[in-house]
Parts: sequence; structure tokens; C-alpha cells
Amino acid sequence: MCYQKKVDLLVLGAIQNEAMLRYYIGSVARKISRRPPCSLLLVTKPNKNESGLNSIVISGIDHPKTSNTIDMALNFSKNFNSNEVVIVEEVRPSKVKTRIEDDLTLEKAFEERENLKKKEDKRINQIIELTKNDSLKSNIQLKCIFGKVGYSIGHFAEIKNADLLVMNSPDKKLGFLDRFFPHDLEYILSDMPCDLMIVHPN
Amino acid sequence: MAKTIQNDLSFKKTWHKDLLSGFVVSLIALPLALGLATASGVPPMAGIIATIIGGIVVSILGGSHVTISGPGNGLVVVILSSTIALGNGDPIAGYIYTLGAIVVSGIIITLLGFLRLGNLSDFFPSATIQGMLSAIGLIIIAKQIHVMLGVSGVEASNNIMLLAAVPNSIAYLIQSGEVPWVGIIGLLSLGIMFFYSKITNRTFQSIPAPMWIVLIAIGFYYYFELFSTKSFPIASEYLIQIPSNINEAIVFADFSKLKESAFITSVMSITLIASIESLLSIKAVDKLDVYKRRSNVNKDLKALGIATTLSGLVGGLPVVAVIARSSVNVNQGATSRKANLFHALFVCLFILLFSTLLNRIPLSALAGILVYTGYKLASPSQFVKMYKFGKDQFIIFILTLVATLLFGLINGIIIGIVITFLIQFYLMESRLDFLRKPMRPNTLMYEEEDGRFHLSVKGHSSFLNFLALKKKIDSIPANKQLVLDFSLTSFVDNSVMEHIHHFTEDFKKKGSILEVIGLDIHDPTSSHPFAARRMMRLTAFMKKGGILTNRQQRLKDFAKEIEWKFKTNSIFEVPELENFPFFKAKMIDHAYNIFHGFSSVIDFKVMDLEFYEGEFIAQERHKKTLLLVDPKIDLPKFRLDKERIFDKIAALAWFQEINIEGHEDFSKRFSLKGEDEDGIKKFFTNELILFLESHPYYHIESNGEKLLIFKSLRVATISEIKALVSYGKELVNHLTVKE
Repeated sequence: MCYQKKVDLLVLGAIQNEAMLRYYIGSVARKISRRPPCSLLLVTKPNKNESGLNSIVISGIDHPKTSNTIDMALNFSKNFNSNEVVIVEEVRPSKVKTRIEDDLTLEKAFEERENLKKKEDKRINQIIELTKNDSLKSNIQLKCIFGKVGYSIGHFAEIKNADLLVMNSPDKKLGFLDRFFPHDLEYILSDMPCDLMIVHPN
Repeated sequence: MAKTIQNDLSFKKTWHKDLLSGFVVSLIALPLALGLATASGVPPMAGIIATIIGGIVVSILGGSHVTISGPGNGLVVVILSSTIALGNGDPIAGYIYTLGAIVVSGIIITLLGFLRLGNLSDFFPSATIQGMLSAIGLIIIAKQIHVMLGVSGVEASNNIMLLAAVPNSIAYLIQSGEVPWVGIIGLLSLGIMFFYSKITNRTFQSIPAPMWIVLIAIGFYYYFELFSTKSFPIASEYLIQIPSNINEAIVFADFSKLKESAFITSVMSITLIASIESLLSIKAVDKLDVYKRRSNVNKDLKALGIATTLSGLVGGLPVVAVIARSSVNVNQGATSRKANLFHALFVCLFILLFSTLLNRIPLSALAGILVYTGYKLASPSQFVKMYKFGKDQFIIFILTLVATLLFGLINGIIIGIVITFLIQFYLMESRLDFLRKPMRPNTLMYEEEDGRFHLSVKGHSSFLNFLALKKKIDSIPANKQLVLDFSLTSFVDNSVMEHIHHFTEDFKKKGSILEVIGLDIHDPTSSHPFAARRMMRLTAFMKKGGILTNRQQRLKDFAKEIEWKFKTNSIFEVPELENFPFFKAKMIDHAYNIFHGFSSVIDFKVMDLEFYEGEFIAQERHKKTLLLVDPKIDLPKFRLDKERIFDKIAALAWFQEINIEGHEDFSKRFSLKGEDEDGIKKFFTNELILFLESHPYYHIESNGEKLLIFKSLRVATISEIKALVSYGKELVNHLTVKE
């Protein structure tokens, strides 16, 4: 259906935490989000949206799809008059080459992390420049998190009490095995911190 | 700072300190090495070889600073059972095969170092490790107490029976008729170990206790030799035997049993116990280090592995980092690894010069030293301590101990881990959830705007996933503060609490702060600060009283300091809060940790508040610390915040933005909203605006009577509460001036 009509955004209701059986077998909402044909909005808290989407967390992971996602998310946030937009740059801890063994290596690793952080911030800032959302700029915060990719952003959204989390669509279909060995998006699908928007490049 | 330490530690300035402490340590190391070796059922020289090789190799290659390496007491039990199992009754053959196992495990330990498994010891739950160590202590006592009393040939099927045979040995000793010299020396030696620390005489204290025992034992021999007409009453089988030619001590390992299961078990036990003992010691010694250096654990592990391999190749025991000798080393003012080197060289020197003298030492004297080290591991105070940790921990401890005594070390520790897991599973609230994601990531760390690190833990936090948490904490530079947030956890176990306690101390030592928040709503399993915690059910929460968390205790102290009242019980209706615009769309669940104070005529109240938005599945719970001020004057209704945040409420309310003339900068930075524009403009005097501009941002609201002040969307730490209170007080001062 979505393929035929070339839908831009599909809105679905979803449960925050699915019970064991349903989680592994799959519900409609989850099934579609594991192979989204188009951009997707999973709504978990219907009555919250009366007050608008106040705070939005966007994934700014280093990926070709990201610039499109940020562009869309920022437009979205402009329309909903969001006050707090946080772009989270998730970085794999393994990118820091120095292993922490003692005080010296700790200092070195921290320096390396700071450099990586600057690089990530620069990359995201470039993307924001491109999207020409200058009016929003004062509201956008950048956050660089070193941790398990996919998991960290979900946990972060939970702490921040975000209303909406925006992610890239998965590169390939997420299958049954991915539910047993979760990664990236699967972490969030198994325990949704808030409403979730999955942005498809088309 | 690093440079000044390096300057302080230059070779010229420190070598004499290290020489001195190395000397003192060698006085302890020599008798211990002999005793540990004989207790392990191998020739005494095996211990000396381990001491010398360990000291030299680890001081050159190691990554720790003031630890001493040598034969360890935990390994006595392992080596002894290995010599019996591999020798089939022949102790010498057993020794040679055991050497093979030592070499192989040395290679494995080196590999562990290369694989960076230095945090292995943190995986084991603390009660299990304590149970295992106490069991080792009891086994050492069980074996050595008979030797100490001079009764040979005591046989028993297992360790518990061996302990039970102690009264028999004592009775035998009394009945035998002759003067039991061997037993007397043994008991004297034990007595010296026990009462050494009680005697404060400085000349007496200048020689360590084990050396006193050696000196007395040798003196005893010469008394009979020179002054007495009787011959020396102790037969040579009760004396230590050191070959006069050092070359004879060197024995080469035999690998012919390499594929036998007994050999593999030995290798596994040696590897496990040696690495755990070393890692625990290194960690403990790091806490003692005056220069607050962090050891490179993996590098040290590699060095210990290489030393063990070399030691095993030429007939020595495994080399581990040892805690007792290391702490003496630190107390004597050691500054670097050179102390370890010097201690090895001194031991080497003693052996070369005094080997005939050492042959006069009765075995019972050394056994006395060992019984004391066994007692230290399994002292009654250890049992009391574990009992205070809570019943769950005590059960794990006792079961691990008994299992280790009956089934050996490896099985003992495996049983301990399984029991820990089962008990935690029983205590847990959300079991299904735990089963679904036992090993999933559950930590998130990021840097807050003010440069502090925020580390949040979710779900269950136990020994199973502690290593990930530890890795995150370890990556924080020394000068940064950390807020550790447990508010999303449903279960925190004892091991984690204990580790966190140690981390808090580490941070304090380095001049930084680690604050733990979010544990107030958890129910501890006992009154001990390290007790495991699980999320409370509401009924339990209402009944709660008596046991305070660390944060509550500190809040209480703070309340006392400023003469405020402090209550921990929860209040389910907080009518004062309902008129505030902030709570318009939110339901208040309950308030707890209430802090109540008066200053002149003004009322202050600080509370932790739990509230929620929405209902049923869409419900969202929040916790927040806030300050409520009642200045007892009429206030205009207003709401002041950092520009543009929290506009959500504005969307519902009738407020509009108010700009105050002449304060463009203020209007730019703050968003001020309210109904009564004139009243608000009058209320915000120049002075008040200046105060607000020069202080950190807080969210301030007024409902016409009271002021509501808070900062972040989570429960505040102690320092944040202090800042909040003083901010509130100052703010009120600026109000009253205006009136």
C-alpha cells in the first residue's frame, strides 16, 4: 500500500514495551518499522502531543542518510515549535585508539576523545548549515556520546524525557535473529523511550 | 602535577628509601617464602626461587608501583592438592609435575595480560571471593595447625575432618609425656604473630614479627648447642632443609602429564587463584600508594606471568602480587618498583650467606606464621562483616566457603557464582525483563554542559554487567566530577554497591567528587551501606523508616548544620504545589526527603518529588528536587526561565512574554511570563535583575503566594541542594529589600 501511494509519512500507534511472545513474533507496528517502506512515526503516548513536541532527540550518527534525517527532523521541529532539539552523535568507543591502562594513557585517550568530539560537532554543524534552519540554531544542542550505537541514544532520550526520537531507517531488513542479538535500531524497538520517527531516504 | 611527581621520584632522591623498605620487606619475605613452600608440600627453596625471580622480573617489566611479588598464600592450597594429585603418593614426582603446571599457567597468565583481561577479578561477586578466601584460610589452618603442634601423620578424608582432628592433636601432645618442644616453638611463634602489633616498644617493632620468630628459633638452637648439656631436642625431620649447594635447589619441570585431566585442573586452579590474588592485591595496594598512581594492571599481569613461567622452569612456586608484604613496603616509605628489586636481592643475599643458619629453623615455627595468615583470611571478624552485609550475602559467603572446603577451589567459586545469581534472581522485581536482556548494555555516559560527567544506569545493575560500568568510570579523567544516576535501575547488587564505594573513595583521593543519586527509592536488603537494593513497592515505601541511604544521611547532616528539619517519609498530598503553572498538566504522586526550615519569617521547603504526566500506558514518571519558598508577602504570578525552554506550559496557559525596559540583556537571556504585567514590572527591580543575571539559571515560578525554584529534571545531588538553598536564601533577601 505504502509503495503504491508513495506515502511520505506513515503514522502508527505502538506499545512501549512488548511482552516476550509478541516481541519475538512481531506486531504490525514493529514489523513495518523493521523494514520501513517510507518514513514512519510510531506514537506511544497519544495524549502527550496536545502540548506539542517540546523536546526532540535526533540521531546524528556518521552515515550518509543522516543529513536527510536531520533536515527532516529540523523541519518537523520547526512546525511543532520545539524548544529543545538535541542532536546526538553516537561514537563507537572503539574509535578511540588509545587503551586506558594507567594515568598517562587515560590522559591521551581523553584528548583523543575531545578531538573526535570536535570533529563530530563540525560535521553536524555543516549539515545544519546546509539545511538552512538558522532560526532554530539557538535551540539546537549537540551531544557527543561514546557508547553502544543505538542503545545510547534510546537511554539518552529516556533521561532527557524527550517527546520524539528521530532515527535513520535501517540499512537492511531487520530479521528474527536481530531480535536475539540486538543492534542499532533494534535496541530502541525493544524498549521505546518515547515516540519514534524513522526517516526513510525517499 | 605529573611532572612534580616524576621529579620527586627521580632515582637519586628515592633509591635509599627503596633500599630500606626492600630490606625490611625481605626480612618478612624470607621466612614467609620458606613457610609457604613447605606448606605447599614442595622444598623450601621453591619459595625462595619464586621470591627472587618474581622480585627481579616484575620490578623490570611490571606496571604497578609499590607492590611486592613473590609466592602467595592463596596458592598454598592449590599447589598442595596439585602435588598430591599429580604425584600419586610420591611428593617429589608430584613437585616436578606441578612445576610443569606452573609453567603452563604462567604462560596463560601472560596471555591474559596481552588480552587485557586485567579486570577479570572484578567480575566475581564480592561475597563469593570472600567465601573462597576464607575457605583458603581455613584450609591453611587445617593443614598447618598439626605441623605447628608438632604432630605428624594426621590424615583425614577432607578439610573439614582435618579441622575436626585438631583437639586430638592437642590431646596427643599433652599425653605424650615428653616436653613437646616442637609444639612449644610453634605456639610461641603463633603468639608472637598475634601479639606483635600490641607491643609498642620501638626497638621490638624495628624487626618484623616473622624475623623475630626466625631469630628466636635460631637462638633456641644455639642455646642447646653452646650452653646446655642436653642435645638439641628437635629431630631433623622437624627442621627445615635447605641444600647447602644452591645448584641442588634448581629442579627442572616435567611436562609428561600435559594431557592428563589432573594436570589441566591444576593449571586452571593455579591460573585462576594466582590471577585473582594478584589483581586483588594490585587494586588494594593502589589505594595505599601515597603518590596516588594507577597501576597498569595488564602490564603487571604480563610480568607476573613471565615471572611465574621462569620460576616454574627452575623449580619455583608461582609468582603473584602479595598484599601483606606490599603494605609493609608502603609503610616503610617505598616509592617505586625498585623496592621490589631490592627485596629480592636481599633475600638472595641471605640465602647465600646464612643457608646453614636457616637449617636450624623448626618447621613448627614457620607453621605458626602460616596459621596466623590463615587466621587473617578466615578471622571471626570476617564472618561478622559478611553477616552485617545482609542475610543474602551471608548465605552466599557460607555456601561458597563450605563448597570450597568440600569440592575444591574451582568448583567452590563456580557454585558461589551460581548461588549469587539465583539469590539475586529471587530478590529481583522484574525477573522476566532481566531474563530477556541479561547482558545487554545498560549504561550511558555523557558530559554535561558544566563539564561534569553524568553516568546513568538502567535496569538491573549487578556483577554480571558491572565490567561495562567500570570501564565507563575508568575512562573519566582525574580532575572531572561524576554524577552516578541509579534512578532508572530496578535492582543494584551488593558487589556493585561495594565497588561504587571504592570508586567514591578513589575520586575523593584524587580531589574530585563522585556523587550517587537515585537510590533513595530503593529498598536495601540490610542496614549495611553496601547492601543490595531493589526498587520498592509502594506499600513498602510507605512503611519505610529507619534505614537511610547515604544521600539521606548526608541531607540529614546538612539539615542539622543549618538547623532545618528533615523528614524522609513520604507525603501523598502536597496542596502547596497545586497552584503552580508547572504542575498544571502534571499529577503529583508523592513528596519525600522533605527539608523544612525557617529563616526570620520566611518558610523554606526542599523536597524530592515524584510526579507523572498522562495515565496508564502513556504515563510518564519524573523525579525532581525543588525548593519552595514562602516569603509571606504578596507576589505577582509569574514564571521565569531560560529563554525558550518549557514553553510547553505556555502553550496551555494564558501567559505572555514580558520585556522589562532598560534590561535588554536580561530579556534576551530569560523568558519572563505572567498575567499582571504592571505588578511584575514593579516586582522586578534593578537589584533583583542584577542578582538574577549574575547567578546561574534556575527555573522560578510564583503562584501569588509562594516561589518554586528548581534546576534540572532529575533528583539533585547534595552539592546541588546546597547551592539551591543558598540561592533561595539570597533571592529572598533581594525581595525583602524591595519591600
